[in-house]
Amino acid sequence: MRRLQHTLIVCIALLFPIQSLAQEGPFSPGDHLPAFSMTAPESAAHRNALGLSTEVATFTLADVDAPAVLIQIFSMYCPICQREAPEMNRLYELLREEGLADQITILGLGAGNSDLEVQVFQERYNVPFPMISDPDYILHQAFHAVGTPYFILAQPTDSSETGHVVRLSHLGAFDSAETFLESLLDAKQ
Amino acid sequence: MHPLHLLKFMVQTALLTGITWVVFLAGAAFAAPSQDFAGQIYQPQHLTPIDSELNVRVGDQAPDFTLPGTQGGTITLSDFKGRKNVMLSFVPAAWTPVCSDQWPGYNILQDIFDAHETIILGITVDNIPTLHSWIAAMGGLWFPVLSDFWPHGHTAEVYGLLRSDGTTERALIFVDKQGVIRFAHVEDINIRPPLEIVMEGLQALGNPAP
Repeated sequence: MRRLQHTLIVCIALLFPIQSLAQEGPFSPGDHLPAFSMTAPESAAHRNALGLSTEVATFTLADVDAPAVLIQIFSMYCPICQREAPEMNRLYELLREEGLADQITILGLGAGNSDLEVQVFQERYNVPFPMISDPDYILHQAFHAVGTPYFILAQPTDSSETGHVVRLSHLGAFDSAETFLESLLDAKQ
Repeated sequence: MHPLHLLKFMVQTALLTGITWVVFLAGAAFAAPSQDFAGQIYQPQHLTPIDSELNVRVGDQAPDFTLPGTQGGTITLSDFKGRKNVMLSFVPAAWTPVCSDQWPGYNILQDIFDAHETIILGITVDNIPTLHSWIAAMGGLWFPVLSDFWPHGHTAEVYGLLRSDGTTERALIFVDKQGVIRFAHVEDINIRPPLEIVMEGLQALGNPAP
């Protein structure tokens, strides 16, 4: 009986973190992103886009010098991400045309993608913004292991402890760069 | 209900819930299914990484086969002799998460395969109608996919890639223009071989044409 009780306690203890995971799925506006570390891109232009020095090997969102970051979770193996690549590049250009380049920085995270896979995707579609590999799905897990593509617009909060707050969360492809930019600007504070 | 029975029931429920979540998380850890496939992909539990013994070695003549293909007709491996290198991409089954996230990647690499004078032949144990629907859901592929459906998994078996449950391993076999195996890689069925492995196989076939 005592052993049974012990087992029960262990099982219930195990269930608690699992219960909280059960509520996961895409983030909602107002959620705070967990802390995660990323490998700094090699390209000087991409480091510059993120406001990173040439020395750092890894960085976090807190290191990114921008009032808002648009994170794109993608995969080289995802057909919809492939098809949407030109539209993502269009969004990047639109931000420049509208003089909003300093307002929103775009960052791609390649869910389960090795360095070579990210490099191939980046070169194939001439992606102008930085893209980070995530071969062991660690970043993907931080984003609740959702499908690809997945977009998060996040902004830093006053306190470094609470991290970035989610303003917009979008699972799947967006309609057009123009309308998506409007939604981003509506959501951004 | 007797209190002891109630307790037993609770323990069982808790255990089952726990196991379900562990299985769910294991699946989630290894696949980022494209939203294209949302809801259409079967989510299996974590599988034995490798469940067969490779029957071919680098340097062997690749066992010949003739199989029906998704682009119509049949395809015979030896027909590529003297013309093209071949990458055989065995995947376990249609409509499974990792496989659905493997070939769409190769689909954007045709120029790299062309530069290495290499054709891809995808192979599964599924029948042609299933493969047809699955490939359509991927948005199409530039390379043929072969059906090793009947006699079930025979080609996979000859290569030593047929698993005990009738699916195949996730394997890449590179065959040169002389029909000789130059590189063979059997991946853990639960994960996708990184592109670095594909490049290693292409390098093993020799230098690309200038």
